[in-house]
Amino acid sequence: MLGKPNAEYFDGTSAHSHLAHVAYDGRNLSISRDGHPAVIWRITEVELVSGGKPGQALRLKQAGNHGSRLTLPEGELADRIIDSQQHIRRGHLNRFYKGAAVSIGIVLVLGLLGYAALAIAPTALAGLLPDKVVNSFADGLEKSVIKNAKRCNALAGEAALNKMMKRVLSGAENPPTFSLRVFDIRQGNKTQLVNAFALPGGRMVMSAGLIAKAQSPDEVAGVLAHELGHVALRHPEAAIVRVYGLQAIISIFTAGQGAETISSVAGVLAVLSYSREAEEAADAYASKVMDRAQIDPKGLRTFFTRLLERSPLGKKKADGTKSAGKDADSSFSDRLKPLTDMFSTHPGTRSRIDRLKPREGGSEPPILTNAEWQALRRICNS
Amino acid sequence: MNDSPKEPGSSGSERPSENVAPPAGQTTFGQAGSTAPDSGLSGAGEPLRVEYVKQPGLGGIAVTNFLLNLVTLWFYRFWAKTRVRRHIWDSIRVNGEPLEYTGTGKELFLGFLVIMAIVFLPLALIATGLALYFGPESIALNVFQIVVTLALVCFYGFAIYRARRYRLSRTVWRGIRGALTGSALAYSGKYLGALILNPMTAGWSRPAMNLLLAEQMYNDMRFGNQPFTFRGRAGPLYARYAVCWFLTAAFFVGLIAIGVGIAMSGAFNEFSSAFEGLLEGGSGSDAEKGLIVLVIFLGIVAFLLLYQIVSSLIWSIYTARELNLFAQYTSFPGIRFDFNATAGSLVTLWLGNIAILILTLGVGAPFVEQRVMKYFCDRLTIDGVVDLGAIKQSQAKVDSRGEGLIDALDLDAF
Repeated sequence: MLGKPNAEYFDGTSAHSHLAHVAYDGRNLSISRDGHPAVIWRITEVELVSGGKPGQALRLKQAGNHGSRLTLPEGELADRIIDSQQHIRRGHLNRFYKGAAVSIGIVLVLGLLGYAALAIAPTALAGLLPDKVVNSFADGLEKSVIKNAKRCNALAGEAALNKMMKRVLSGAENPPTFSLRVFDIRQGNKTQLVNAFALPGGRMVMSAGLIAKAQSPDEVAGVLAHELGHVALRHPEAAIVRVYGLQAIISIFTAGQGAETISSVAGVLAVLSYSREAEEAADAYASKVMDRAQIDPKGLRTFFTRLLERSPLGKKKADGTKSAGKDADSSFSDRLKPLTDMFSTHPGTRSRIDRLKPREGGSEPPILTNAEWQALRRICNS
Repeated sequence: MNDSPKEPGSSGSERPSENVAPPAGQTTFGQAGSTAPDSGLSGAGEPLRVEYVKQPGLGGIAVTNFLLNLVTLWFYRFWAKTRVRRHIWDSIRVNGEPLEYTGTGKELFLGFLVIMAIVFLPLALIATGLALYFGPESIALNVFQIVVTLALVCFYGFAIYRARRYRLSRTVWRGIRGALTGSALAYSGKYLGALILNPMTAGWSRPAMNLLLAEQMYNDMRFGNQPFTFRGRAGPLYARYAVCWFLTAAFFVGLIAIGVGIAMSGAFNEFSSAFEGLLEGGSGSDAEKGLIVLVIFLGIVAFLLLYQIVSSLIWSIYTARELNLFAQYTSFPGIRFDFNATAGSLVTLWLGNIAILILTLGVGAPFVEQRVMKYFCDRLTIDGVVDLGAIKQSQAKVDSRGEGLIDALDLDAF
């Protein structure tokens, strides 16, 4: 040994403790023992095991998995190493920062992947769903929307509805395949629901309450054009992919146990409530269709306005209690409300209504005769 | 092979280690006199002494871990666990030299990723496919989920064993690693057997199965190249087990008797008719209904709490016996172990842990781990001497990843 023992050394081959003399020259730790050649550790490759604070012994190891350990008692040598070598002094802190940074990075990457899975992929994949999947899904949704409501199909009313739909279709360039049915959907067996749904597979469902609330054929035709937009743009199918994408993500973390959440209310709402972007796209589609089919967009506009004013959200806005800028009616909690009115599944705002411009020039021949309109309003009386 | 453990004489209640072990938290070699670690000329070996020396900084770790877990939706947990273990391992001193935890958050995260990729992702895709194709409430999906749940239960033992193996391979003392060298599948089979047998035998297989599991776990354990040995019978456990079993049975009978007593009395009739009225949605004001619901809720909570507390009290009698006996059954070349668990101290430990978790809303979990580890260190005594020079480095293969399955199955008790 070169000097008095001032450290304890474990060589990594046995648990035997070696008394050693350690010399530090600023670049290397030189560890010498009796009967052994000196061991040289480059200080840049030395890592902190524990200690390193005043009053503590300093325990060190060599980078990599060598098993050899060096224990220096509290004292001048330990202080000199700690003071001169930031990577040893800050060993634990650096490890903490690294772990924090990596885990935050993981969450950001997962967030991006989740965004891709829920916002981009559904639109792209919507057209690829097999019919069987779309139909079985639509069956389930239809059940939860219609429940045991009565189908409204009085002959004269159906004829008027068909005539109206034909007029709407005359404005569509490539009309999608669809079906249209009216049901007397009610909330808690009392108030009529005022809503229309575009279910997957082109199944359009309209509530009798919507026809009752409408004051002219233009209004109903406008809603139909809007729902046709959802069907043509495959919004319901995209929603299926979105919900299943979300479920796949959930069930990864629950070993496949989360795959049945779709039957819940939240699942239904997730499919039926579209984003504001989707609504605006359907509005734009409806505007084009109405323009070509010579239907007055004022109908849809007044209908939306009336609904908005009647809904609690609209009232809030009218009172000015809610600050402008953010759309209060597209907030998450509002979306989770039961299917109350059209705006629960079709987030609507003033800006959407304002975007429905009147047709320019040309006449708007009536969609239905007065007799036909009355027949449509009595479509449930069969 | 543990052929001739150097038993201390039966008279030697005074352990010879008292003047050797350095005082808590200090390293006193170098200036120490006769018994300082030295080149093994004596060859006789050293006695061992384990102690838990609390280090400052655990509170900071607990708080920052919790905050980072919140920010990262619990993805920080791998690094959080690692930090806590580093701290706790560093506080465990064997003859003054701390244990070192060499695992990393990265290894735990990779273990998690691999399990997600090879087990949970395929399961999720199949489940989603079934839900899409047959509908979300279909029989096919339900059957699949039941089968998957059962299959995962088969792997509980596997997960526990592999997690133990990872932790041992990352535990270093004086530069030497621990190891677990047996078959995780064999352990998994025994564990599954225990899970199936316990309900079938009304619990009477538990001491025997616990012994079987401990037998494999401890016989597979190594420190460096030296094996731990576990040898003993389950028989001596059964007297205490019977006491606890019959006390629990008596407790249940008592509860039923109280229940019947309430049912016989008039109070219950009134209550049950009120409850029936509630179910039929009939008469009664909203306040009355609310009160009934509250009474039912509080009743259930009180019952569960009472059951938990009483059964923990009763079974601590058995657990203490099992801990002590299993420690006595365990040996390491040159030394034997003794553990001093008592029912009272176990209950105190348990109640304190529950109080910490509730009062800190889970933030204090690292302190619970510390309390448990301190309990074990404080009550463990080691008799005999170890020839530390004879303990060579472990040659067992070291896992590159860790604990994915136990994290995913949420079995991580410690």
